[in-house]
Formats: sequence, C-alpha cells, structure tokens
Amino acid sequence: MEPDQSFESQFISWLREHRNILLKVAGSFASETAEQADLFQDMAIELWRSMPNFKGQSKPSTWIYRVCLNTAHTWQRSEQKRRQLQSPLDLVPELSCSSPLPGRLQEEAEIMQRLYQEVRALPVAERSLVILLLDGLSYREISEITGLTENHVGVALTRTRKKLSESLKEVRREF
Amino acid sequence: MSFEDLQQKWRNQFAESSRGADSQIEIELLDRIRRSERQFRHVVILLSLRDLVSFSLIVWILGKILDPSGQHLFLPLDREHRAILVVGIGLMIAISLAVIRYSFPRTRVTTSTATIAAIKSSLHRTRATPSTAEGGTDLPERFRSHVSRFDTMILWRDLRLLARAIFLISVAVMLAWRAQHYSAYVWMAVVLFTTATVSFLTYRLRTRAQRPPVDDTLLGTLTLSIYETRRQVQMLDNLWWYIAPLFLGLLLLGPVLLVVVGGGVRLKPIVGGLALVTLGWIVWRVSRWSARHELRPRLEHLEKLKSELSNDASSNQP
Repeated sequence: MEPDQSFESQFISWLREHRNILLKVAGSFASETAEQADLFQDMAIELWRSMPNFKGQSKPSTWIYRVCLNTAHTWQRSEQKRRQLQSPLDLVPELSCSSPLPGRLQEEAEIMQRLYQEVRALPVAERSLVILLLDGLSYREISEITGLTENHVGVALTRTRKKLSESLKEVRREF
Repeated sequence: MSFEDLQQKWRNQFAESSRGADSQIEIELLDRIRRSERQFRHVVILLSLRDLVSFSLIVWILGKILDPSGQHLFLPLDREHRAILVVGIGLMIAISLAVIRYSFPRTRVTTSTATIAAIKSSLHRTRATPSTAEGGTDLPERFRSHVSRFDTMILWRDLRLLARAIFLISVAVMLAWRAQHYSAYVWMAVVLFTTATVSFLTYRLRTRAQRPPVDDTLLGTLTLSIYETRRQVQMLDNLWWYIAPLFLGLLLLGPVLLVVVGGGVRLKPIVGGLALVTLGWIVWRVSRWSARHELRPRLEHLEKLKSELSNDASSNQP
C-alpha cells in the first residue's frame, strides 16, 4: 500500500520546520559530512516510520528530538561496529565547502565547528543532554525527552555544563 | 564569550535554507524512504511466496508418496516426480537468496553527493531561525488512524511462524493417523514437534506479555531495548529446548523409521541420521555464537548507555 499524499506532505512540512534538529543531532554524533548525511537520512526514515505512533501528547519538536536521539544512539552502535571492520581508507573523504565564507561568517563557522568537536567528545548520554541544553530546552522538556526526572536532569547538566565550559575556555578567548 | 552566547549561536546556526537545496533533500529523502518501504514489502512478499511454495511442495509430495492402502507409510517417488521436487527446492533456494539480497543490500544506501553538499552548505549558514523548542504544529487527526506498517509486519511475521508450526504438526498427525504398523514412532514425532512449537510460542507470548511498560523517551527506549536484547540472548543461548525436540522428531520420522521398516541398520539411515544430528548441532552452535558475538556486546553497550544516562547524575549529587 502506497502512503497517501497528505501523509507525505505532512512529513515534508515537519521536515522543513524541524530540519535543524536533525542537522544538529547529525553534527553532534558524526564528524564526517558523509556520515552526517547518512545519519540525517536514517533519522528522516525513522521519523517517517514513527509518525503514525505520535500521539500528540507532547510538542512535535519534543517528539522529534526523542526519535532523532534514539536513532543517533542506534546509529552510533552500528557505526562503531562498521568502523572496526573497515580500514580508515575506506571512509568517504569529507567534501570540501564549495566556496570560502566571508570573514565574520567564517569566524562563526569556526566557533560552531569547535563547539561540535567538544560536543562529540562527550560521552553519548551527556552529549544528548548537552544538545538539548544548547538548544534552549527547559529541564521539563529535557525530562520529557530523556525520561529522567527534572532533578536528575538538573544535576547531570550542571556537571556537564561545567565540563563543557572548561573545554571551551580556549574558544572563548580566541573569539 | 559566555556559555549563553554559545547557546545563542547554537540555536541560531541554521538559516532558512534556499528552496532549491530544500527541495533537493526532500525529493531525495522521499525517494529513499519509498525505496526502503518497497524493499521491505518485497521481502515480505518473497517470504510469503517461499512459504507458499514449500507448503504446496510438501502437500503435493505427500499426495504422491503416501500409500493409499495404508500398508506402507510411503511409496517410492518416481523419476518425474523427483525432478519436480528438485525444481521446487531450487525455487525455494532462489527465493531465499533473493530475500537475503533484499534484506542485506551489497551497497549501503547512502545519500547522494548533491544532498551531502546541500547538508554541508546548510551546516555553514549562520542566519537566525526560530527556535525548535518554541511553538509546534497540531497533530493531524489522520496520523492517529494510520497504522504503523512496521508493527503490522512484525505481527504478520509472528502469524507466519504460527501457520508454519500448525502445518508441520498437521502433516505429522496425518502421517501418524495413516500409519498402520509404525504409528507409535510417528506419534512420538508429533509429540516432539508439538512440544517444540508450543514451547517456542509460549516463550514468545510470555516475552511479549512481560515487556516493561515504557514510554518512547530515551530512557524508556533503552529500557525496552535492553529487555528485548536480554530476552534474545537468553533464548539463543538456550535454544536446545527448541532444537532438541524438533530434530529428535525428524530423526524419528526419517532415519529411525527407515531402520525399523527396513528391518536392520543400513548405510542410508545412518548417513541421514548423522546429517540431521550435525545440522542440529550447527543450528545450536550458530545460535549460541550469535548470542555471544552479536547480542552480548550490544547488551553491554545498551546497559552502559543506560547507566550513564540514569546513574551519572545521582552519582554526582553532593
């Protein structure tokens, strides 16, 4: 049975509206552009499959975060296994950016690149919490996505935030 | 630069993408999704076809070889029928290979260079977009009534397993019913098949019934994954309770019956018996290997992740 047009158009509309969630999660879990694109695709497919299960009890963005982070965790496991099985030469080389960015934008891009590197260096569980924190979600919303209590989230994030601030001191000095 | 500044930059890192790049990504994604759904449907259709071929083949063979007088359980198969049997088995092998081909494509489905470039270019855009945490659209009612294809397929697979079990037991019961002289052996095989099937079904139903009541949060999903993986490990590690009665039943129906009917030990039943025992041993070893090498590392990883997520905070409380 082919999916109906309205289902597809709703999917596209959500994808347009919340595409940045997918991009941020992809950038936080994968370093190579090709891997990010792979993970982006996996998350989109999982969203498509999970859409019928969405009960509307939370905001679509909260639910999309759940699906994306769950998919990223699964992807990370399979990716680790895949990396163990192949030599580094088999990895798809990262595509270079088509054109150099102007000064200010270049600087911003470098800050983001450093931030992503630091986020990727965190353990997977902490990484998921940090992505949500950086995106400005409240403890209650993070608790809805992760299933932890708000108190739990608060304690975990205080420590993680401190850790991230320490490692980003250098970036702050540079910019 | 404060943490809040970084937060601000993070939230505003993606600009409204150009329509061209958006359309490119969407078109390609939809294409991939459609292809993936199509592949899944093809696998299911092929599996059904294989079941249909094997069921028809067994029924046809039984119709040809059963002794109508009931004096002998089986009559020898003539040359023409043997050729049809070989073609049928060949067809089943071909379908199985096609299923493997569809389930594990040789090349991983990857996004095209154009999409990678579009995603990369959007990673570098820095104009502000509205926060994802704000607002949200209402759920269209139609989604609630849209049944998940994925869940349906899993349910359908369980039903196929049940159909196979019922078919196997029915055939064995029919044989036992018709056998005049050696029915005790066939009835024993029926009991063994039924034991294996009922144990397997009970295990599956109990596993489903005991699933922890979890939600779709990260913690909930991890808890469910851990539960399901642990169950799989336990099942594959102890599959002897399923393999032993099944293969014992086949031994009784095949080599043992041949020895009894033939009135003495001959080479054919011995070779057949040894082949069956070896096959059973291989199935048992493969299931244990897959439990230890595939599922245990996955279980350990999931448990570590859950512990990181749920215990990390409490272990750091002042």
